[in-house]
Amino acid sequence: MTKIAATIDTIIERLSVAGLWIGSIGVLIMFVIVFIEIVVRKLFETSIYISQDYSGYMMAICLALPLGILVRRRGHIKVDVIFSRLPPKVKYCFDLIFLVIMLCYGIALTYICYGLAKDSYDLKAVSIDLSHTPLWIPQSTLVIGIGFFVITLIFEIYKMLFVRSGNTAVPSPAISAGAENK
Amino acid sequence: MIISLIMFATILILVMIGVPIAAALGMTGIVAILLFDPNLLKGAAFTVWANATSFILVSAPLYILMGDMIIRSGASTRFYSGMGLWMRKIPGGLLHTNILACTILSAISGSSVATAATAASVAIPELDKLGYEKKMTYGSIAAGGTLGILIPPSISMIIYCGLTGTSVAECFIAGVIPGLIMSFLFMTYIGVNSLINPDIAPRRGSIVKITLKVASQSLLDVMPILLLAVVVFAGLYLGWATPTELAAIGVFFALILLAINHNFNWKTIFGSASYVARVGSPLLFIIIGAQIFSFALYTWGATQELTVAVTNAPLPPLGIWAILAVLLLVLGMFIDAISMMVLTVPVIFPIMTGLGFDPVWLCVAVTLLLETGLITPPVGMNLFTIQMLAPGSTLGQIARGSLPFVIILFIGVIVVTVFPEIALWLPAHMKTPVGP
Repeated sequence: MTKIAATIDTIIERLSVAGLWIGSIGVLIMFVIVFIEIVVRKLFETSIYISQDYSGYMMAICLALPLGILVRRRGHIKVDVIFSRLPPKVKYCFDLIFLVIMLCYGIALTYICYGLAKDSYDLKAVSIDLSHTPLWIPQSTLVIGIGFFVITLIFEIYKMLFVRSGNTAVPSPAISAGAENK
Repeated sequence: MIISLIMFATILILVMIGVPIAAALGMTGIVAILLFDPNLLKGAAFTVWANATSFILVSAPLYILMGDMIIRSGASTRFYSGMGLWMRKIPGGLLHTNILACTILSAISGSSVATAATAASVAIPELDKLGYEKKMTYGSIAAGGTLGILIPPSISMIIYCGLTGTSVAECFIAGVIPGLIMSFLFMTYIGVNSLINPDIAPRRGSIVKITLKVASQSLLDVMPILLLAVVVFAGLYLGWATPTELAAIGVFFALILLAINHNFNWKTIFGSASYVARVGSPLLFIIIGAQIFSFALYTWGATQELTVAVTNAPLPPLGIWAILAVLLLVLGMFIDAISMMVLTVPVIFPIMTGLGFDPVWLCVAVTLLLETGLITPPVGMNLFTIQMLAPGSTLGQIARGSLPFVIILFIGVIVVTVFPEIALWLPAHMKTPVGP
């Protein structure tokens, strides 16, 4: 791997970890928002009025921002009953094809999420809760997260094509079944 | 109709060769939408946004957070050990603990794998030491673990509701009686089998002598989880809070358990949150893919075509359900539970509800079928979990131990089909269900 590629690799790794951290903080904020709503409702018979919308926005963050690290750790859920029995060379080709399919999907998804956020910005759409949050702000988290997912995929494909052929010793990320959530 | 078949075939091929499920579903959906009318991509964008921020789905990460924090607090393993003390004397002894503990652990964990892993980590070394038959030990834990997605809270049910708009609270409550019946059937099988063949559960007496101190300690170990299970059930049944709010209450309770067990620190809490982000992100990504695929099916009119074709088929509704059930059973052998849920529900739901089946009942019936998939090879997540936690075990040994429980689960599907009230009676008597 060239020096530039190695630098990009480090940057992507750090951003991926940062994405996971922000997603994790999003999970905790999600809990705090819903819990405060319950306390306020039960004790003071009122509402913070933003719990449904803002917990949803936090979930969007939790969904989108860790996508990069999932690509690097091959953490996406898949059925590998056939894949795991393939010879290494065929497996390598298939893995490359899967990354390309994911890349196409990621680009399409970034495009449609960008369109959504742009429409919200142009139309000055705001949330229906009391905060009247401009919707393009939370929608941008999807664009950023999925956009970074695309960048990570492009770099992973590059690594598979040019790094595995012997130019460098950077290891390919371990395959994970992503099975924890079943 | 041809387009629908092409779409299904594409998905099936992509998934079976190992394409990440989210991409297989989403990409097929996007291509289908582009072929029909590219302007409809805006509709897909709204679908993505609505699901990424759905308040129904918010409960899924929160329940995962609750379960993980409880496991990190050590309360779940102590619960298992505490339960064991009271089950040693009956025929089948500690094998019953596997089932009963899993039944109650299911109420604090929405995942079958987490339930099975918790029980297996404590049970396998202890049962090995006491000379219990390995096959039966593994089978009972694998089967007990399946209850994780039937007894509320259940991540699979949340996903079903997210995909179909069915009430989470009603589905959760509907899973309770079938879950308890399955638990009872599992225990009956263990008891009868132990009477016929006492070697599978030798009564060598307890290693720990039961004194008042030991007994009260075991009750203290059992209480927190039991209390949380009761709070979750009562909260849902009496309509105190929405499933999402109950999840937040559960997380608060888990934080208290962490504090009691001197584990309340940033590292543990952030570790749990990070686990949720790692597990929740691909899960939500799949749901979004599934919703894009559903949207594509809808735009092509495939959902309606299929429903009409199936309802006009020269078969009674129960015959159609039988075919679908066998299909789910076979698919479950190759595809894991969550993936199968997102792949099949968008198609099965309109067909079954079109035939007059209740959506809440369907949730329970599909979940029961998914459970069988968890303990059937070659892809049985609970089998893999136990193999990982039982050094020296083989997949074949675990699968053979699980086989009788697979049959019992299938009997459960038949019973719930013949007597749908088993699932529907409790939701019908709920106090005003709250929220989504």
